[in-house]
Amino acid sequence: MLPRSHQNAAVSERSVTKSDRSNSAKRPSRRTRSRSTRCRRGIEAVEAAITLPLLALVMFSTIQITHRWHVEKLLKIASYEAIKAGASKDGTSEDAIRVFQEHCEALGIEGAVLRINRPRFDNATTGTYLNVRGTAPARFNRLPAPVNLTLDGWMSGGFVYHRKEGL
Amino acid sequence: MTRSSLTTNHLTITGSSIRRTTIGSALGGSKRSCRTGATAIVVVTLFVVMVLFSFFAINIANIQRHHAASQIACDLASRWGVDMISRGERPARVERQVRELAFRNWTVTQNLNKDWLRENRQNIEVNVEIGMAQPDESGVFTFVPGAQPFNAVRVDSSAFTSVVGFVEDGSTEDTSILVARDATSVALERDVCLVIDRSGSMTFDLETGDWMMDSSWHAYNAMSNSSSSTIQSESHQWWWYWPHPQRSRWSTLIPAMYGLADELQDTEQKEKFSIVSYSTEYARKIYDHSHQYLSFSMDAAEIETTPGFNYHEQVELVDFKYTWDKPVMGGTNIAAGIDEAVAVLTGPGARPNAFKTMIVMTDGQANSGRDPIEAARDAAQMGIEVHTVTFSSQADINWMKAVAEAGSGKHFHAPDGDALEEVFRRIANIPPAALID
Repeated sequence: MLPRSHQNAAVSERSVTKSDRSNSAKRPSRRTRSRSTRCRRGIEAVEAAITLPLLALVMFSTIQITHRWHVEKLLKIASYEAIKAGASKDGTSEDAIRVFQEHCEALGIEGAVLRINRPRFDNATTGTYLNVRGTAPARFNRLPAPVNLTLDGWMSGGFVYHRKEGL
Repeated sequence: MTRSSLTTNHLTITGSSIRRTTIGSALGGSKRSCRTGATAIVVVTLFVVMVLFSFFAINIANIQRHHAASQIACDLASRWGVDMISRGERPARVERQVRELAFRNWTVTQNLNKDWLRENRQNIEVNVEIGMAQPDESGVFTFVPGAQPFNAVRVDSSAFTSVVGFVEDGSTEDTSILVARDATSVALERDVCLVIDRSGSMTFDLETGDWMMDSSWHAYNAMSNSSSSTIQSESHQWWWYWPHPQRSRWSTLIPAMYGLADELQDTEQKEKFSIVSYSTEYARKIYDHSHQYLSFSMDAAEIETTPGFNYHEQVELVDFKYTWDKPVMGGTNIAAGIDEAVAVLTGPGARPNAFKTMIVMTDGQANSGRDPIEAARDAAQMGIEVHTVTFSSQADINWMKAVAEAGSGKHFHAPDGDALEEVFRRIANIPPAALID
């Protein structure tokens, strides 16, 4: 046996449930539904206006950063081929630059420049440390995007070291 | 009746304001409120997924970048090691320098500064092994560390590289991954074919470029002294001068060839050597040194010697042949010489797994046959490296540079005999190093 207060509550529950059923059976008027839809669309539009740029930012940043690293990797590979040519026994700076440009052209990198640090390949004695760095302007090599999220300037493959070969 | 049902009753009865709360709407509010919250949840979820995807993509790109750079570090270090071994450097010295070079490229790869290096040098591991690599019947190389004679260097290196998107708890393993690469370079066996020019210009004076015949030996004397009217009437067919033994280009080529033979004898590798000569096709009736009437013909290119290890004997054969037997004459068909050398280097006397090198020497410019650039390109496609050597000031240097480039080789110029010998010796010492792993 429930206490009195609880009995009253049970009675009220029954009555409220019945009332809800009767309310839900009623369809909202066209005017009310229209206002509700407009309101919902407005809220969704605001949410989208806030979040979609954020999502786009994340997406384009990811694409551009990974593409930049990809180009830098290709520059590193071209620098590697260049230093092999230049550091060989009879290799010259011109050989290194020629090989670098050939590889960059084949890899689709535009405006690439090979920076050769002193001493130059031609005059180096056997065993001398040599290094090169392949670079390319970012504005020629980045992917087209609505907003440029990566830095301008030069993409760099980083230094590659080798020794002047003796044979 | 349960307590929860009472609570539900109470909420329903007492407050419509509950509907305004997000949680209430999501769990059981009206349709309008429910949708508002659901969009936010979807967007937040999508945002989290996008961020995770970004971390994944960035990490993959970063790891790829480091893999490429690490491979380069190993390749260059092992290549330098083979260069040192071929020059006869001590293994301990080789190991030290190879390690240093690999470490330096690793450092650059990781963008490390000196302070970091001082503290974390032990994080980068570089192992260097020196040994011997030999190909089996199928051409696959097997590296045996420590085996002699040394002809290969293996570099194995690894280091941790940082990744983004993980919670750092202070331990290296949680924020870094191991990037490991290795490379093995080997100094290969070589088959070398020397392609020499025996065109008429090789009898010219080296300095002046004029005809330089040995008047005491040339065949013209024999013809003019002949009592035969037939010979005298046909004498225009028979002119032929022996190259001057000291001043002609031919006479300076022979000592340079002996120098090449000496150098091949001294190199660490064991080269198979052969000689091909070229000029243009001709047929002549001549008198030889002893005034004997001869009728003979020569092809545009001739195989003088087949691949072998008797370097000096091969040079002696050529020396004797063109001093006592056959004339140095005709035009310049360089492509025929290259094609004949390709046949020698890919023929039965050559080793299938050996690195193949051709040394094409000329004192002039091609005036017969197809373009030698095309011939060199064909040779390169068959895995043959074509070096070119221009001799004398009348040679077409630019053309032969293009031939060397098409043949994946190098061009050298020698203005005189000493320089020619030096060039030959240098080419003999170019180590045919190759990455096998």
